[in-house]
Amino acid sequence: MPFMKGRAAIRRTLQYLERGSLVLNDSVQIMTVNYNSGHKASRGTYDFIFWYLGQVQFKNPSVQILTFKNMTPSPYISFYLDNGEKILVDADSRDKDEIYQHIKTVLGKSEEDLQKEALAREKKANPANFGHGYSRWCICEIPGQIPCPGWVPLPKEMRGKYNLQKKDVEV
Amino acid sequence: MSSQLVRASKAVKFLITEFPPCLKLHNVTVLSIRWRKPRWVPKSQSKLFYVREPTEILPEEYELLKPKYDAYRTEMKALRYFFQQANKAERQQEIARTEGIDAKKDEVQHRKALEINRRWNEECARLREERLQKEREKREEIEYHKQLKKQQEDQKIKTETESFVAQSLESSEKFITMENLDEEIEKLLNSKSDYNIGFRNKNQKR
Repeated sequence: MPFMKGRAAIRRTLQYLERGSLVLNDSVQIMTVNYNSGHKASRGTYDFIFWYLGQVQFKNPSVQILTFKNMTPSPYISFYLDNGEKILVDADSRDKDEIYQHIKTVLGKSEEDLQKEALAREKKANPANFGHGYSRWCICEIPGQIPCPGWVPLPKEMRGKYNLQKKDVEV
Repeated sequence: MSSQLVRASKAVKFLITEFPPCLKLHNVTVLSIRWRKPRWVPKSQSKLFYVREPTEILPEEYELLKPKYDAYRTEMKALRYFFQQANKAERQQEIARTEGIDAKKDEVQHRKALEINRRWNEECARLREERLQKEREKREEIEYHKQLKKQQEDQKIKTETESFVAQSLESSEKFITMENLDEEIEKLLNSKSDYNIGFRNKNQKR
């Protein structure tokens, strides 16, 4: 089985993407990253984009993320919020991990918020549910319930033919 | 058999969110649908000529029960409406209360975040200034060395030309001009040169 193609192909694996911990606030709509190529001061920003952008987009699918190359004398990241506000994060001569941590502090959802959301999602997803969108379609699939009459005929007391139409049925 | 009335629960076979109010009875959605069979399939043979026996209604019983039922239903409706309104008001109060708190909390957090960001940006500006200063100094140094080298080159050329000029001047004194011509010819004719010399270099062995 050949190796996955591309530089640092691990960035494209599901496990890597799911491990991203930066979840931006609901108020953030657009994230813009400006940096230069072959620029020592932009190195950190470039690395940030290389390693973390996939994770950020994966965890924030509704946030529009854009990158611009070689349009600025100094690298920066800007965030556009839904109330029209713009937050500028300077990234000159900064390491990728520093940038990541700073954005998490300033605009990321806190751990407790994320846990609350996870709990809310769990509550909604009751494992006992069945029907459209759940793992079991019909109540007959649940152990302990009456099996599907398509496979095992119902006892005659439960059949309309016997009860209401008073017809003779077996079993 | 009349068409089946089905209470729409969460186990409907296709995704329905909200039915129109005309289908609702006592806030319950009532559908008249054959789930398993399509619309164009005719009624099943066993149900084709089925005629329902009307329920027996004894007139005296009906007269006695009807006002009781009416009273009961009115009370139930009133209670239901009352609870609905109470719940609605409570929910709205809760929303208003938490909205205020949440908004305030968000505002405070936002201001803190902006403060943190401002400090970070200042630090970045300081780093950038350092970097630019270093670059400026480096550029100046390079310029200085260039200038120095150029000066040295110029100096070298100058000294070379000066020595060349001095040499020329020196040797020009020995030139043969029209005035010296006769004298020089006399000199040459009177001198004697011996061409009987060895061709070997100094350090060569015999």
